[in-house]
Amino acid sequence: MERALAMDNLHAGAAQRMLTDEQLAAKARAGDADAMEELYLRYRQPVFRVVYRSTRNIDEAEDIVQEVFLKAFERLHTFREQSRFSTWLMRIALNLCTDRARMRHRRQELLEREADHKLAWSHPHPPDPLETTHQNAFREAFYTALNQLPDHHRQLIILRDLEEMEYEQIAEILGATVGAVKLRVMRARRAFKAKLEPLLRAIGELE
Amino acid sequence: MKRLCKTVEQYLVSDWESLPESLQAHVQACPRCRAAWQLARAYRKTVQMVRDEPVPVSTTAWAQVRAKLSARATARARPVWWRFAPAFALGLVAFVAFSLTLVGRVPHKPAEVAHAGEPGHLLEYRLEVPPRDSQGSGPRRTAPLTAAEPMPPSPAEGLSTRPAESLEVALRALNHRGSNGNTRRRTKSVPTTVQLAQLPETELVVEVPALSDFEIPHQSEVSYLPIQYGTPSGQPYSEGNGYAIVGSF
Repeated sequence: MERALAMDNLHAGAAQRMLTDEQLAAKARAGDADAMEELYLRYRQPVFRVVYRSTRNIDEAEDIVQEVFLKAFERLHTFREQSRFSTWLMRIALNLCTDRARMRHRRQELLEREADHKLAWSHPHPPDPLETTHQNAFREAFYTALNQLPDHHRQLIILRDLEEMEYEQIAEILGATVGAVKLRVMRARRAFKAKLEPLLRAIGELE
Repeated sequence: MKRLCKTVEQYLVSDWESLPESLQAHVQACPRCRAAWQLARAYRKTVQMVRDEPVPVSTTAWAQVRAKLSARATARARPVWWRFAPAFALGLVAFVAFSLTLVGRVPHKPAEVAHAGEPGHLLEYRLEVPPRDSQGSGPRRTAPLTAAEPMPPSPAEGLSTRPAESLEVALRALNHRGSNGNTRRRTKSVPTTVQLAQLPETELVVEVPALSDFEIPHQSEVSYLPIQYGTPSGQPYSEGNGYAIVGSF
């Protein structure tokens, strides 16, 4: 009996896997927990990647991913299917990342004020190349510069340069035209390079 | 030269990984373009390294998300007042406890409250005298008189002559107003006791406005006397003083 039940579940799972995101979203909207689970399993890791790139903290990223899916399933009725489910989900994730980043920034400001500006949390010194490996130095320099960027620039760098998303997909996520996204990416890179340059110079990559 | 710089810049913006040979010579010669090119190359290298960095795998199980989802749905299903129920219950208990404390502590409202005027309080006396010509058949006319003199201390303070003195003041004021040509005045001189005694009881009224309350601390010390017009009680009555004590207690 149990075996039969397990087989049924297996078949149901396989059937779910055949469905498109939008079909699953429609089923999930009707309260189908299996459809929700399938959507969760499909997009847990892509969402986690983007969130992790933004936070660089596993616990916080896990927390945000949970929040993303909770929000998405609670507000499935607002999903109009004018965009893809994946981009809709990614938009929620980016918004939550922005909120968290603002909160973190505020908290850091308070801490800095409390410590009478003795703590330079948001502007750490460039990593010492002698203490870290060359690759680590690059990564540290990269994330240090990335965290100094405004939210809209940081999101574009993550989506385009790190996650290598197509301009069309980014445009769908951000609700903008492809041309506008290209322009924004160019500006974001220019700002990012300006932040990155002294750090790269500090680790000896630039003359 | 500037045209070549612009072309290099366009290549950099367009994310090209290598430059055509015609531009490479210019990049070597132009320090500005060389710096920009080096920065772009370092940027690409950095991005590639970060991109290659393994991202940890999310370990949050669906069961956790599902449990949170149902918990939130349950919380949302509750009415709004449910959130404030504990505070409301606490407030209610505090209120009941406070009320019970008050009921236990405060005695019942004092049964007897006496009225007395405060010293310095201005009294208005209203003397109603029927017109002589109508012999009581016409409408009653009223002569309001204000005695702008401070009221004597209350009986509780040991002075019990207030009614007699008050009347004296009233009659004096009546005479005074009469001398000023008040048409409502009917008596030109102070009436004698006999004259006052002849008047019907209802026609001579001294109205005392509402006086302030005061509590008598020891109920047992208070004795109440019936008010009788023309009967002295607060002060020994003497026949020859020329005044009638209208009422006292």
